[in-house]
Amino acid sequence: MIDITFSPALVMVLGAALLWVTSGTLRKTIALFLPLLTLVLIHTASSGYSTVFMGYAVEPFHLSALGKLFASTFALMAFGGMLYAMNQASRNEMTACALYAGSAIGVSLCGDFITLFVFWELMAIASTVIVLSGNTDAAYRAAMRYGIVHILSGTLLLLGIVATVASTGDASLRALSLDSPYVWAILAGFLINAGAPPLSAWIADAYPEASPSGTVFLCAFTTKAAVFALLSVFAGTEILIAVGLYMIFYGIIYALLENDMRRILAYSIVNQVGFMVVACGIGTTLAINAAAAHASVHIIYKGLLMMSAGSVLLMTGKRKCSDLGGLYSSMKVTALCGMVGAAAISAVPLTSGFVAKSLINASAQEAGMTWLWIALLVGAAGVFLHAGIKFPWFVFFNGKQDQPLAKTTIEAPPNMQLAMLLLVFICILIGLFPAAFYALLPYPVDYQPYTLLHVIEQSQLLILSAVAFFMMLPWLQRTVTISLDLDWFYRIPIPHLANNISALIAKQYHKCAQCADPLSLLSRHWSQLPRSAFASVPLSALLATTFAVSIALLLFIYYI
Amino acid sequence: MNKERYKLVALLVATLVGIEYLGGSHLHPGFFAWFGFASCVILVIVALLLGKVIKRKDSYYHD
Repeated sequence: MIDITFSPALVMVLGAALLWVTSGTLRKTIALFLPLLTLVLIHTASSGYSTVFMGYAVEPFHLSALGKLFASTFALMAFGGMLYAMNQASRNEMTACALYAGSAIGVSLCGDFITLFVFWELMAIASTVIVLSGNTDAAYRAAMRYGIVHILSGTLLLLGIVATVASTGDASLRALSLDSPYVWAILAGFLINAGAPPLSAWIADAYPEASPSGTVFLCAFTTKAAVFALLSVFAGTEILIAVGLYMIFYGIIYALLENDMRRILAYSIVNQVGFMVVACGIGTTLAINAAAAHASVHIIYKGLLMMSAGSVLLMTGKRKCSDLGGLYSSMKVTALCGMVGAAAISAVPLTSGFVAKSLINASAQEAGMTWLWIALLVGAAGVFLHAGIKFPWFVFFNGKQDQPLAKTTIEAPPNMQLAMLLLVFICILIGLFPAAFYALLPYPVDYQPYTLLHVIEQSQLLILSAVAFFMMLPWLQRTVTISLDLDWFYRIPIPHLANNISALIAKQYHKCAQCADPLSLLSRHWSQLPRSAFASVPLSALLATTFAVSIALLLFIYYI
Repeated sequence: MNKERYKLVALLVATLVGIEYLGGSHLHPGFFAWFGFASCVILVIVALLLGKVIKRKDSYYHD
């Protein structure tokens, strides 16, 4: 065990600069090395690191079981992501990815609100750059919207944190109760980043516009760092149960309607984070364990699903389910890895999802919330429907094996396959050894997921959900559409209103300018001014009078 | 899905329900099966209904 006096997050945050200045094999080596070094530091550090900042006791590096779990999973995901990205990501993107992953690790390893805020904003900046690195017109616009939403969440968070820290004098990261509007502002800041309503649309809007490897990084960090923050500060807050339930069903319904394969997965993120938010709302030790477990396995299997979708996008150039299908024959590794990811998200026995999801249901049951348990069960069936079957079916099967796309596509490059296989390995490993995984959770776990009854019940749920899917397949065929969401309000009426108002103001200003300056002297470059400009009596008279009156007033005020 | 596959699935589910009954669940056997099926049907119906209201062409937001 070693004593380190800085947050392990700084390895990736500062190391991102190395990625910026190097290239080729050196950059790839550094990209793979940084997350591994971070992981080693997290597990060999003996204690945290405290200091004083502006008169407040802060703890930039705080070792807690919850933090270690999140940070380790982030670091592992960063390694897999870098392996996936290293051959085709641009310099900007890789640097931003390292900064982003490092900041997320920083959030999970911090012990005070001030450090949290710094890393939170770094995450926002870096992730906006990742969206921008998608390098298309749509990516640029989506990045602007994404940036605005995150500025909003950052501002709310800053407002809440400054007020709370200043009024209590205590900056440490601790549970807060919702008794002041500033604490509500902190909650709002966390929830916006988690993808809670009314601002859930940014996830499905921005994530699919990034590059194949960019989305792999994007999907893993912001929302789960927000879940970590919620668990640290707002565990047991009842309103989170309602918010989480909305997110669960919102994700399922929108994903069922969606055509773009990565948007389906993005809505699925909202759905899964909804489960975590519900567990956070329940707040018992089992529920907190459940949320933490679900968050960490989700990081891995969602990364795996996005890698699979990203590989398909890279090799086919297509992103819509209506353009895809039948790729199982030509992209076997990608398809199989995608299917393992789909199995994990659906909580198929022997995968990591089964081990973690069961804890959430168990915590609802233990807390005596029968209606909630039923709602979560409906949600579980819905997850299999939209992510477990829909995504692999429409991308890899759907009866289109004989179409030209299926026949001419080739498998993804080896580094991408390796990255996917690594994540598959982790999903199955956790599925096979739940006790070892439970040992990493913040509180001791007294739960056995592999009982005969539980496996049978889950299998029944999944098999009959699959039957329902195939029976309703004709109604689920893809349409080339999007589904409107609450972001419509800030994308259509408000911009149009703002444009109309500024057009109105511009017209009035133009009229006044014409009146005061008919020769447009004030708006011309000095070389374009007419020779007789300074003989223009009205203007020079006006200027002279203004100066004279101002000086007179100043003297008058000064001497009276 | 053709008839043979349906028969296989039905057999599988019946086996599972049977084991569950023998295993002694505090809910009636087959609960998870019909619940999963009904949930999916209802979710798809709700999605299709909501889709009639909120679906727009792909290019709706192209600024």
